[in-house]
Amino acid sequence: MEDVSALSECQLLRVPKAGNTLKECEDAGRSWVGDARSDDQGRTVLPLYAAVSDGASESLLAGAWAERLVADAVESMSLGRDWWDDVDTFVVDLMERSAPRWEAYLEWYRAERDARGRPIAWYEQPGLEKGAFATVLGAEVRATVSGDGRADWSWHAFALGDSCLFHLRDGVVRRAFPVEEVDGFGITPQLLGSRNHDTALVAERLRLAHGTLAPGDEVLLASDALAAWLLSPHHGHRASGTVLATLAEVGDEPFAEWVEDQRARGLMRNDDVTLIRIRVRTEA
Amino acid sequence: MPYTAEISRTNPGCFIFLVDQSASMSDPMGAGEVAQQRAEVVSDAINRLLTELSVKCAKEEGVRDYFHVAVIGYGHNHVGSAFQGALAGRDLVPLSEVANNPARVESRTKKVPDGAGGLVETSVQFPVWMDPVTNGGTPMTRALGYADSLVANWVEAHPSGFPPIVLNLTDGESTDGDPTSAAIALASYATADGAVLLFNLHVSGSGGTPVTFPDSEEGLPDTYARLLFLMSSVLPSHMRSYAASQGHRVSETTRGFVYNADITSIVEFLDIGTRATELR
Repeated sequence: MEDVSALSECQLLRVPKAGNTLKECEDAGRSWVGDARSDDQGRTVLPLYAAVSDGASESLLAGAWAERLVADAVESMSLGRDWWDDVDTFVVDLMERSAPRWEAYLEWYRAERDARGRPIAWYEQPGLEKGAFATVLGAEVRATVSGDGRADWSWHAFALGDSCLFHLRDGVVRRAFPVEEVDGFGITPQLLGSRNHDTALVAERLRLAHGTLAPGDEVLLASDALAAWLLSPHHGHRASGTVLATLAEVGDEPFAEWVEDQRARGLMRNDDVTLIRIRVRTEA
Repeated sequence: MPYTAEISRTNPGCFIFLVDQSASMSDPMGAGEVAQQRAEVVSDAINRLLTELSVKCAKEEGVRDYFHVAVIGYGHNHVGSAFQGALAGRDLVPLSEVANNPARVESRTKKVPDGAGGLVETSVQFPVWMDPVTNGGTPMTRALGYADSLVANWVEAHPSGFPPIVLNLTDGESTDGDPTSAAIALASYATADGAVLLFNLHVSGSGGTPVTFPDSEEGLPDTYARLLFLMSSVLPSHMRSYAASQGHRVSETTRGFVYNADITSIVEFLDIGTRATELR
């Protein structure tokens, strides 16, 4: 079996909204290298799962809900094999996974607040009753390795809301999903609410997409402020992909400094930023 | 584009409520046995506005200071803070302090859906920051002047921020002269993001149809209503969109004026980030 970590690189970068601490960041990102397995043609399948979720500012516990969703999205994708073939089953699996875990978390949260002598205040009650809300974007990047060692790469993604996936080649955006234009962002994206149990509606609203990848390509998962920056025409797509690649390679701190600079220059909206960068290595 | 400045803890907004506490506010708002006293309508509106604002800006374990809020009463020989309890005497107060210091929290009953097509009574907490007060004349011009000084300081300290919003709640019968000039002066202050927004809630005994965010004087029942309409700012475009989404007919001349109707919905006009809305 091939070692998938040798075939792809994955990074997670997060920067909170200016004025907030990282603890207050309501974006979440998660990636996980799945187990290698054989497909029905005897080829080796090497999956990498990633998810980004952006908690809505106007809801309580949005960050915790976003963390719940990315963990459950990665788990549901990894257990679903070709999960995109049956979106109804996938959505039921994801929501049935999240709901009891979230209820247990809420119970723990209330008890913990009571124990600390900080019970739920009157102004928190309506928000807790309404539930937490977040976008969710999940993707599987998959290498399918034939007997002769040749690897075919592909990505499959689902999205609810405006967290976006980008397929880049040579720093150029080849595909943006699900938002394709910078005008497509707003303050009322579609969101998954923690009290929403209407799996049929969620399945209906969930968007799916897929594509093939070549060695050296990149797949980015980004929350809306960075996604809007990537789709903005002022710096050109070529520069944007290359800029991000360079920044991601030098690490968290320069990336955070760059985000702050873009905000200060009015080129990026002041919001939490999460980026997952997956690079298909040129050598298998 | 005006009225798009970020509202956050580092760039807070300013909300000033002016509350008519004159003797005429003890009169009923409408006709009939169930007519509520105007002062009660107004104090209820203030308490609900402060509640909605606090809930909107609430996060885990606290309300964020996205706004600083003043509640200024005007009545007999007095223009000044109308807060009761721990906040008494204070003008602009960070929203977290407002939320943590109501004068008292009452328990009220509310009917909510029972999940089986019916309604069931449930108890809700209702914080109270001010009770109805009715006394003497209506120094509206002085009240607008008081707001003027608060706004002047705010705009100087926050030159790029979202401009202050002033909401005047009154029966419109000013007793210290025509308030128009004071209103024009107040609304002429501006930040880089736009001019001060002056809105009015008119509680009146003149009857007629309640009116929410009209775009002309037509249909308003008396001179007080027309005067307050003309004093009110035109709604910025994003607020017009929210008014339209709440089912109101709007145009480019729609103003922040409400006659004998609920104004609490203006809290929904404020953008502090991604809204929590159910999937549809």
